[in-house]
Amino acid sequence: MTLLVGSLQLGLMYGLLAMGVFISFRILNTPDLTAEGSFTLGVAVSATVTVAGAPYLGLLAAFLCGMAAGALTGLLQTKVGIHPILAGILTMSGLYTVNLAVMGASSNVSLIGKETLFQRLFTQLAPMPKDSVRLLVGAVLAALALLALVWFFRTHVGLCVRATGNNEAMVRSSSINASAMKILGLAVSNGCIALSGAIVAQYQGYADISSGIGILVVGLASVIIGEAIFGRRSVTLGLISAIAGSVGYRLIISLALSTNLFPTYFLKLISAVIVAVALSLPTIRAGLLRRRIRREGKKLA
Amino acid sequence: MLEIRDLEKTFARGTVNEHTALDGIDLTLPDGDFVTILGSNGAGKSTLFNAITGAFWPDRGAIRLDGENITYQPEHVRARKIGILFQDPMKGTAPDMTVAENLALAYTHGRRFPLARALQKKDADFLRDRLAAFHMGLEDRMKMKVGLLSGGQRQAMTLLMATVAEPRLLLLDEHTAALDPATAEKVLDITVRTVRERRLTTLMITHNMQSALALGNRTLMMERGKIILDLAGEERDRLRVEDLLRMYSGRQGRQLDNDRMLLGK
Ligand SMILES: Nc1ncnc2c1ncn2[C@@H]1O[C@H](COP(=O)(O)OP(=O)(O)OP(=O)(O)O)[C@@H](O)[C@H]1O
Ligand SMILES: [Mg+2]
Repeated sequence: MTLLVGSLQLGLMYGLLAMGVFISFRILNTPDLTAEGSFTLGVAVSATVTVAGAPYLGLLAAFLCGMAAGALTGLLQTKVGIHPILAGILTMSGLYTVNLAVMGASSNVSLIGKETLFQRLFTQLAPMPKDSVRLLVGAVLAALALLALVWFFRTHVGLCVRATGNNEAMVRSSSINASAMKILGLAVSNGCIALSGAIVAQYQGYADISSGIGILVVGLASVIIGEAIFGRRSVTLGLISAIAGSVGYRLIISLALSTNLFPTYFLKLISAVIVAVALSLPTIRAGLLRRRIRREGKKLA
Repeated sequence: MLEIRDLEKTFARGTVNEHTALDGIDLTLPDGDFVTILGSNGAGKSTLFNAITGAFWPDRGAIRLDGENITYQPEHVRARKIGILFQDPMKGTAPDMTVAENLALAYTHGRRFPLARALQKKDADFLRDRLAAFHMGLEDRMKMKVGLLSGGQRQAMTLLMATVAEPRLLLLDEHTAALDPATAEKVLDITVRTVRERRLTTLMITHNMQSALALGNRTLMMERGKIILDLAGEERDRLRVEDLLRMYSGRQGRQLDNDRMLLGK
């Protein structure tokens, strides 16, 4: 039971990360490595602002900083013409220094004894059990972000962002500014990712400079698990399934850990394997199909 | 009105691959002109279009549309006034978006607040009517993903998307060449109808001499980056495909070596 509740809490908070990765990976169709840096940026900004006494402002500030990081990668990709992967790596590397600076040149910041938004809500919603409050915060935040994103991708500019990811040649020969749409899309994506880091930092009660390592793979795994459950249909469904996939991912991980299948430090390897296997499934399936066709073809001959 | 003055473009200047693709093009297109363009492979037809749409900047010369100098205007800015269709039907539509979404993208861009809802009922009705006029059954597939449509259907959609915002100039680059003959004829037919109804100033590249002479009111022939023939009026009306061939080989001092051009499609 605690296992389920814990997975649900974490899954919802990391659901923001999954939606951000879904936007860059599926909607913009571009591998964006900024995520590793922008997640930590969210963690760092949120923790620092919370220490200063404004936990809610910390979330907002983290979101805006994440957007700026994404926009920077977008600028490097479009205006400067740097390869998308390299552009992401450059921002990510640069952010390492920025994140350290935000955390006051220290590699971790503790929020123990500080008033995080969870601490505030524990007292405000007093009789409610702490675990329910945590769950509520995760659910409300994920739901709000989901609604905002669904709305955004139904607006005219949202449609332009989707078209840019789907057929850039077409957008380039139309009156839509393809570069601006890419920058905007990456900004929204990394804003979500940073917001995820921001809430996770307050949930865990500390910020660590290495929180973002391997986080892109976690996001990808969530997106892929979500697609395995819901399939790939519309943007709205994709965003929902990203959150569901994130919860699924946390469940799988905590189940595996609780049965002592492997020690905690195996997590990153397991995540990478999940993603690699999931991404190779279509190829494996096509291969199996070809074999079956050949076999049946021979039978008929 | 489109005015092109002394347009020049040389690719890979200063290398062994140096190639002058546009060599002093002068062209004036009054409003409502429907011009067909002929020319063998590599003559510079598509390069001329690319200069007009702004895919690259010419080395010399000027392009004016309705009196405005657009030679160095960013692509997406001038695209508001220019619609273009390519040979490849995949190029003009977003496959993972629905028919309605694709059309809304082209129709509402620039005329509505960016954060307004993209798909609105009154637009959908208007666009459905316009699609219905094509008689391709597309009006019943507004919610279908475009990637599931045939090449001809996609090209018809692209035509609607390129013309729905009432451009000042329509460019057609062999836009029926990748379609089967029956579909090509159908798409050509709706093209001609659209151009006539909207009185669009149009440039159409084709390899089919028959339709080059039959459609529109003026025919150009390009060769090695130059316009070598510019026919209109009576002179053009009297002309037959054989005459065109004779004139062409006469001026070039060599025989045509392009079967596609001779036979059309
Ligand atoms: N971006 C480019 N870089 C270098 N050379 C180019 C470029 N674009 C076109 N060319 C060259 O310019 C010449 C004209 O090409 P263009 O595409 O305009 O021909 P075309 O008349 O459209 O021929 P086709 O009937 O085959 O489409 C060709 O020799 C081509 O190789
Ligand atoms: Mg061409």
